[in-house]
Amino acid sequence: MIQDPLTVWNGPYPYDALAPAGVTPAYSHAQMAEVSFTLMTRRMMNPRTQKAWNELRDLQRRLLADFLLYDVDAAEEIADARAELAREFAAPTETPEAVRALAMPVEALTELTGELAEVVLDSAPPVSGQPLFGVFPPPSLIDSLIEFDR
Amino acid sequence: MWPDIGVRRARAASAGGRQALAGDDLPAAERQFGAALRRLSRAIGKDERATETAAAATIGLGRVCLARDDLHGADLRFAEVHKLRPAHWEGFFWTGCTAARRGEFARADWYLSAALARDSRQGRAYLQRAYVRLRQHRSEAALADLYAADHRQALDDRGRVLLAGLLLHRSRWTQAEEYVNSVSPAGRTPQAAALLGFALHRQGKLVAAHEAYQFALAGGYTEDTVLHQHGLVGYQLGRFISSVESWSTLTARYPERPEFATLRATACYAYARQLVEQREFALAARYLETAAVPGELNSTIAELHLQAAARIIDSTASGPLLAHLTRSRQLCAADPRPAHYLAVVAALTGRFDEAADLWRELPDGPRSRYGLALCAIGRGEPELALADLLDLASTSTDPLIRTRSAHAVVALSLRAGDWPTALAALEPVAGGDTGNETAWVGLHAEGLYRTGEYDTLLGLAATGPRRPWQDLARLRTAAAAAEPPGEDELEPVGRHRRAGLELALVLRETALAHAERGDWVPAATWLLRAERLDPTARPDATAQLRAPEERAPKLIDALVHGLGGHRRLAVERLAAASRRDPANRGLSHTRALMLLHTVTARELPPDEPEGWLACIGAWMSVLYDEEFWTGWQRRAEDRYGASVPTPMLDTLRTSLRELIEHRVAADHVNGGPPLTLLLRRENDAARVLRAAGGLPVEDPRHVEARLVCGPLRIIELGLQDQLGRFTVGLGNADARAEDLLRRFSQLGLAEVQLAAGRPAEALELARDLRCPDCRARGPEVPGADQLLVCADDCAYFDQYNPAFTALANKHQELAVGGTTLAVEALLGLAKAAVSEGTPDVDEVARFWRDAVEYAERSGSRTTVRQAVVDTAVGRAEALSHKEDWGRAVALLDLAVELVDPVETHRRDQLVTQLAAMLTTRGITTFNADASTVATACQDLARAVELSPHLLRARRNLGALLRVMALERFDQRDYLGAAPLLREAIEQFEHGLTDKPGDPEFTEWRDRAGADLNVVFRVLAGANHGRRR
Repeated sequence: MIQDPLTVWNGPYPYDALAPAGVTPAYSHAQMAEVSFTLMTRRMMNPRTQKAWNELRDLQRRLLADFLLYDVDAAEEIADARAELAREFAAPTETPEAVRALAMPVEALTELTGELAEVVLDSAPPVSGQPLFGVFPPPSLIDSLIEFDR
Repeated sequence: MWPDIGVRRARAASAGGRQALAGDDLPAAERQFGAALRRLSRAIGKDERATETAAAATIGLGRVCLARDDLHGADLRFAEVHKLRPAHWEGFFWTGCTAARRGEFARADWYLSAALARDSRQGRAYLQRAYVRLRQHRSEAALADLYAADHRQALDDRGRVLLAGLLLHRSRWTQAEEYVNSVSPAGRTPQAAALLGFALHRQGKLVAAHEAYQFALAGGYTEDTVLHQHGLVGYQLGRFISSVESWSTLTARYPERPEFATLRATACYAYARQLVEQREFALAARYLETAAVPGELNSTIAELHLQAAARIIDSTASGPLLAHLTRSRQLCAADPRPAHYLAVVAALTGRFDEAADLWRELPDGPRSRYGLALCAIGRGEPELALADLLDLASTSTDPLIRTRSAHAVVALSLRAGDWPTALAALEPVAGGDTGNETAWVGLHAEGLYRTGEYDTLLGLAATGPRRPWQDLARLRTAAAAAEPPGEDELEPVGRHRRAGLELALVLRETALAHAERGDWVPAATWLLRAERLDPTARPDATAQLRAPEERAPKLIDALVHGLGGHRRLAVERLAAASRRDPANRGLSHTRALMLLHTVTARELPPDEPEGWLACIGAWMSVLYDEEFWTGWQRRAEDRYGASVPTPMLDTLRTSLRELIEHRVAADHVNGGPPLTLLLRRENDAARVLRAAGGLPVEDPRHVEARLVCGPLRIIELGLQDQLGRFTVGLGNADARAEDLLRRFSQLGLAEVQLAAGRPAEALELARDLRCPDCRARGPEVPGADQLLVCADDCAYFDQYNPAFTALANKHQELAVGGTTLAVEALLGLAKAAVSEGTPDVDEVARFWRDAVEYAERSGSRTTVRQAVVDTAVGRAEALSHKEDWGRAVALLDLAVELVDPVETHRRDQLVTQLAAMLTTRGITTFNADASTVATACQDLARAVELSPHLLRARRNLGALLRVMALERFDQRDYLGAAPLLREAIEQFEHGLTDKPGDPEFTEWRDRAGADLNVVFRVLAGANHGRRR
């Protein structure tokens, strides 16, 4: 049970008032009934503690005070959180570089550039300008240009 | 005069004929020329002008024959011309042209020469004779004629090209070029361009010649010499692609002539060489393959394909790359490079089997072994790779392979969480102060940190990638724990992705240590720092790192924040956790408390009043969750060591409800309904949902979970659709569905007011069911008899009316619900008004009429009208007992007005009741004060009208009419008394009709009759006296 420091109560919150006497929400009903002895023996009985004790020894009134407490086992919650932390500390995590190192690097392909040999071709031979066909323009072209009037 | 007119008309006809001939309209030309001749027939030979005109028309007719290829007809016509004008050139010219067309070139030459003998200025005749002589193979004579024609400006484009061609035959290149260049733009044909190209080429003007040949070929003149010469000039100019193209055409045209294939191969080689110089290796490889004798240049071509592949390594399409590598491998099987890079491409694209096959075919070397290891990893068999990689990492002679293998070993170790092996592999490549690869140096430092080698790590130089891990190592030492570093000191670590995550975990651990001691404020501070440092919140975070909001929200985190003063963070975390797990009861209780303590202490800024809405939603959810209370009761009993009776818990729940209502009393949220109203609706709604078994919700623990809450919580969780489906699923007939509709909607607010005995407020809410957004769009308030709901396209309707979301006509259904509530409110208002000691009947009437009006719309007219009538009758009776006749009659009047028209029997009863009451009122009024006889008469008359068989009314009406008549008589108003007595007698006779022989009616009738006789007598006497 955890108390919120902002808890609003009509007067001092009873557990606050009785805290010096060691009273906690874990007290049984029987223990709560005997708190007056503790208060008196420690000379802590005063109107403030008296009112707080009256509020807590009455089961109906104590229920209301208790309901405004967080019903959480902090130790258990913290233990769970620590366990998860431990798992996270130990969890294997790969880096992007590591993930990449398990695959063929793209650079392996670019290495080709460094392995190339220069290609040099001999000069091309000259070609003969000797005619391979008859007279130019051919008779067919001359003939096609003749046109008699009509 | 006649001859002149005739010749003129003949000339005009002849001119028309020539025009038609030029337009190829041969029939028109023939007609016109014929008409000209007819006009001249008698004058031919007699008149010179007529003869000239006749000769011209005859030539025209001859040309028409020529155009129709009627050479014989043409000859006849032109012969006529010779006779008409033997000294004139034209007839001979046309005879020459006709002969040429016949192919009679000698005859043609004779006639054309005859024409020129008669007129040597006719250049056209020279041109025609040149054509004739060319056909006679007399090219020199033709050439002379062409020159003569040119001299006489008679050389057209065709003639110029022909002359250029003859000059080319004579190697007169310059003259030929000039003649081709002198043609008009329209005459620059592909053939002319070919002649020009030839002339230019022969003069050594290569560039212009190439251009002319290109023009000729593009125009379709692909003559053999032109192709050959085009290739030659291209080759001479280094424009080898021209040679390749033209000589390829010739090779295809003359496959039997090897000289063309040789030319083509030469051109391809020259072009390939040029492409190599331009580093266009892919094209070069293609042309070289075409040029080469098979097998001759294979290694060179293979190298060119490798060069081409290297140039497209970065390309996204792997097809061309693979094609080059494959072809290179085909051409030069002994070269290991193509196979290796084919394997690399295969491995990069996930084709591991193919890659492995290629590497296995290659000699066993470090590259192949490394590749095979990666293929094994790619196939999901890393265990087959590790040994080889470890060996390569330590023994390979190739430093690159050695490093890469070490990196792969590290990666495999990291995957297995084996930091010591990873560290051992990293040592040679990134250990000491020799490492220069930032990422691996950082990983090495991380390895030292993770294996607890803090001293070794701190002993290394503090380079960039190492520093965060060295800082963390210092933080982990005892000295640092005593005095934690400040935020500034940790900031560089936080910027590092992996070290930052580690730091966040360390800080979180510190926060938990504080929380364990109950030191909430420092715990909250450390936790916040951990969350701020969490690198997963940064944009560069990788998918494998989880962001805080992706983690399952932790109750302890929210508590640490809340108790440590970070109230808003706490509320947000709890809300997030609650959204993930809405049915988690412990979480709901914690959240309800956190909200209550926070909003009560006003720890949230005033601009976040929604805190109260969340608080109300959370609390009502807790208060009505029976399973939560069972658990809480058990835990309380365990703690107290005493029984906690259930009635005590019921009292506690009531106290808590009152406590919350007390604290929210004064607050509103954003001008909306008062929080108390929302609280009560939430309360009612949660109770109704509990009665319906709770809303089934998804539960992270995969157990059946049911949520009990009100609409605020439903909306907060975004479960409106689910609630809508749940409501509809209960079925129409189920009263719980109706309850849910009325509580989980705007109707719920009106319901609360109604239940609290505030029907006016309820009516106001029921008539305006719009969301604030629709209300802002107007009108401000509903008009009379109007009931407003959200617009059909309103985006907020479902939020404000979650139970209606699954209904087909949800807007109309809500309106019907509002109408029903409005009716209830109006009935409530009417009931309150009518129950007053002296009710305002007009006000009551207004409420009832409105209620009936709304009831008509909601389909509850019968029940509402019955209720109204019953209330009106009961209250009228009560008032009549108090002799408040006016209000009693008015209420009964209302009852008659509002009774359902189909209830005829009931209406008759009411009418009878009203008539009886009017009768009683009339009698009582008169008895109390005889001067009110007229008013009493009106009541009785209406009673008789309403209920004609009501004898009591009729008897008393008759009696009072007689009383009024006697009063008139006493006042000597005999004319006024007579009709009253006649009316009285009429009433008594009606009574006797209903009750024949009734002595009372008989007596009254007789008395009235006697009275009337007296009146008549008095009136007769008076008349008699006046006559006298």
